[in-house]
Amino acid sequence: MSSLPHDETTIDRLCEHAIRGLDAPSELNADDAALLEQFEFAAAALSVALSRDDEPMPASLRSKLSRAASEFNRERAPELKISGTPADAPSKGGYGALAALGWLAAAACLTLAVFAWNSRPSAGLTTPSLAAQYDELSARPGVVRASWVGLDDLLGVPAHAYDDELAGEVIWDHETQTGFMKFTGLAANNPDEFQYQLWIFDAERRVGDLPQFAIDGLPDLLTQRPVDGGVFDADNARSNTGEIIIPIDAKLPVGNAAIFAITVEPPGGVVVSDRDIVTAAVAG
Amino acid sequence: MSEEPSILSRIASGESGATEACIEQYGGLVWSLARRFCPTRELAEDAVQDAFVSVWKSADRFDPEQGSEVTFVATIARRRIIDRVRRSGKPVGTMPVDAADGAMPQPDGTGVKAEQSEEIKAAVRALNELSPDQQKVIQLSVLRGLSHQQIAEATGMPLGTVKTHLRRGLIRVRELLAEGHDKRMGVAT
Repeated sequence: MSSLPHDETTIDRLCEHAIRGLDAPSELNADDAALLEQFEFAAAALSVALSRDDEPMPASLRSKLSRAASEFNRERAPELKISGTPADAPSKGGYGALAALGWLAAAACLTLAVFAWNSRPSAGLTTPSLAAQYDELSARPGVVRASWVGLDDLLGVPAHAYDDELAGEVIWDHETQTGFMKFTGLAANNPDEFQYQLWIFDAERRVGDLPQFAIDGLPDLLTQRPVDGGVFDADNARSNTGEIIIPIDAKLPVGNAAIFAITVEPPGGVVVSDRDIVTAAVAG
Repeated sequence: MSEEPSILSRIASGESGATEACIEQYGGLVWSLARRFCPTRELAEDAVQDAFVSVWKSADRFDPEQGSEVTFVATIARRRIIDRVRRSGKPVGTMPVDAADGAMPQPDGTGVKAEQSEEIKAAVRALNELSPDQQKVIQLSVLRGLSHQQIAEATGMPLGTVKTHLRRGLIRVRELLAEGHDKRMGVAT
């Protein structure tokens, strides 16, 4: 294993490069390049350890991959004996190998083969429906359940432009830290223009960090940094019933979910919201 | 170590069914990674395709004595996914596709694939040694690709603290991975 550089700035820079997939800095020496590879390997191991594949891959994507696999096998067959080294593979020396420098440098030159997808019909793979997952979670004892209300109902202010006839509910299970939102009447969005984002106000988290959001008559809870519950789209076209179900993606553990709020945000979401709230649900 | 040839060595040797086996085995993992890094579902789907093509093309570089197949696949997949997001002109490190994956997993192995490799066990072990704040920083960084600054804003932690947590976390995982590697290679520690 290569030794660590003495200065923390260099280590921090290598950590960030490894985790964020940045190109290796051109001035890296061999030791630092090897260290970068080790950090990247560590980040990959952490990714696997923390990843959850509880949402199956879409069947349409699975079909595309099958077609890509067929294409790959067809194109690869005559090349097997003369295949070269792909530029983005970890070094064959693997963990701790100074050969890292080779692939790191080569990675900058990588060009991917473009595959022409065939138009074979879908493989017809089945995936568990969100509705089934919703029902299953909903049946668990102790699940928190709250209905969406517009700000016009909650605060007596004019209705938000995107909450036309909005209805539905949110369910959240503290034990499994999972939940779903169900909506009807939430305006469809163009993800390139804006997206919706869920925020969870946790009664067990600190309040007062964002005093500018205090509202007379409402709990101090609104002055906390809420937990990001994930960015999502209202893709009404994919629903036959007009009802859409969105799994909650809480970025941090939630101790006691008290208020759920949906805001309108730029594509990709934000870390700190200006709180253009469309709707909210108050638990309990 | 299993005596059965790995999926990647089967791909490298030209076994056509092995690419399908690869999708079957690692599709969930790669899709999960893509959803967390990509701001749109469409981009995530493109990134997954890029990732698998790269994995197949890199199959002959896999050496089971140097590490597990799943970590090798994850290393390549992360690179390709992040690269795809960057080439799209969208920011890397945004929130995920569509909130489709439940809560932040805890480092207790519940999110780990059934077939845990030594590296994954080492990663879980390292995570369990960290404080909740350190775990939080690692999760936001590794799973979301958030920058130091973004993590500081999201958590309210000082920037220096975020860097320290991340540095210590990665160094610890690296140490544990090295120990595991040395054991496999019969190196005295």
